[in-house]
Amino acid sequence: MEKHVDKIKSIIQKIISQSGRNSVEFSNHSKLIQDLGLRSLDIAQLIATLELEFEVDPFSTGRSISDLVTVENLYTIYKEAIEKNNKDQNYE
Amino acid sequence: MFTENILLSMNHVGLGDLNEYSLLVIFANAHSKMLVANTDIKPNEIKDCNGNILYPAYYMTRITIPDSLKLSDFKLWNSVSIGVDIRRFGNSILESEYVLGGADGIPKDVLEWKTAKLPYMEASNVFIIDRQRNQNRNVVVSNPTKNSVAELGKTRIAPASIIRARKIRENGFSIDPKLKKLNHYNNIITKCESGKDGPSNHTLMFAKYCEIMDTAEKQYLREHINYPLSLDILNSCYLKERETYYYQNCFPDEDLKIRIKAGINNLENPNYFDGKSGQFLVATFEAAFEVSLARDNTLLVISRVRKDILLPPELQDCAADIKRIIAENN
Repeated sequence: MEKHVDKIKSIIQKIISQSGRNSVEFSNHSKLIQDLGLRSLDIAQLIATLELEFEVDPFSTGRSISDLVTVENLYTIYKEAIEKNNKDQNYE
Repeated sequence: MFTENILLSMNHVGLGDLNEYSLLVIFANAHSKMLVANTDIKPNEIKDCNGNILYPAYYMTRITIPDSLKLSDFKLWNSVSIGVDIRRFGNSILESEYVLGGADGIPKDVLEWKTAKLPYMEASNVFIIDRQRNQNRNVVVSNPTKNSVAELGKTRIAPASIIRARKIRENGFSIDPKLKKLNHYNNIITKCESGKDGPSNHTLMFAKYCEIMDTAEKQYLREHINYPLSLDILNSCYLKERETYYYQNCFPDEDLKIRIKAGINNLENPNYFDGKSGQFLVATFEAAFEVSLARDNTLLVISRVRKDILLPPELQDCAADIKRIIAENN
């Protein structure tokens, strides 16, 4: 399992527990809003926390928030953003 | 940090004195200016990567007015100083502090604003897509593109307001147990009108809710408690603190339902407050509000306000009225 996947999972669980709910089982196909019950402020906190964690923000450099539907979308979007950021830094 | 000096004009306060609504708008204007300071864009030109216009929606505001001051001490044509400081958590969430000072200005150090005995506010925002009336009403967060917002200080710690917003939504606000409770009232209906309360094609501005709640509060205290308060007493209530959480948007021409619970306590020995006006602090009042759409009970706002009741010398008889009314209501 890629490291960023573990980190994203744990951040999702943390946000769910901060919203007063018990930890939930979720799969890659779980939808963030419909299945995990994340509200708009939860999504904002999730994206902000991931930006601090990975030092990338794909949503201010071309990716649309509307692309974010499932947990799998999160893994893919951040994998791409991290790899691009690493490539850009190597190039410099 | 962003600071500016302005003259309180009729644009801000009409022919009256500074009030809560005008203070919130003054603070919001300063916030918008800081967001685009030293850029070539205007506050209504912040966009995401899909070209959607974004705006920084307030989800929490908390105003405090120190004991030594009333908002109405700031008069039409007074010069005032405004300070705002914004920090970002990621690119979506903003935390901010604000202060308003008079002729003596404001402290240069942001860390001194909260204790400076001046009107002060802390607030939190999240960038959301600006919706017109005929579009999907759901709140959608989005991030501004790089360079469409000024360089802001960062915080690595998630704002405490995020967790508190969830807790308040779950539990509501309680009234200070030291206050004598007044009966709850669940059915004040008010209409917000396009033109008067906001443009027809845009959601209500956050500041409008304090006016809506103040109007509902007066109606409640005049008509819906067992022993109502007189207009003289209602006009002697002065804002000390209001904490508000905003959960959903609303367009004008909607009916709003407001639920209120409140408490009040008279001081046994009225405190002398102000040598100039001779007002006495005779009681404190606290109210908690839930504002929803009347048609489907969608929650819009939860808020708690605390006010002091200050009576001028010519209304000192009202102090006895307050004592009697509190006893009768309990």
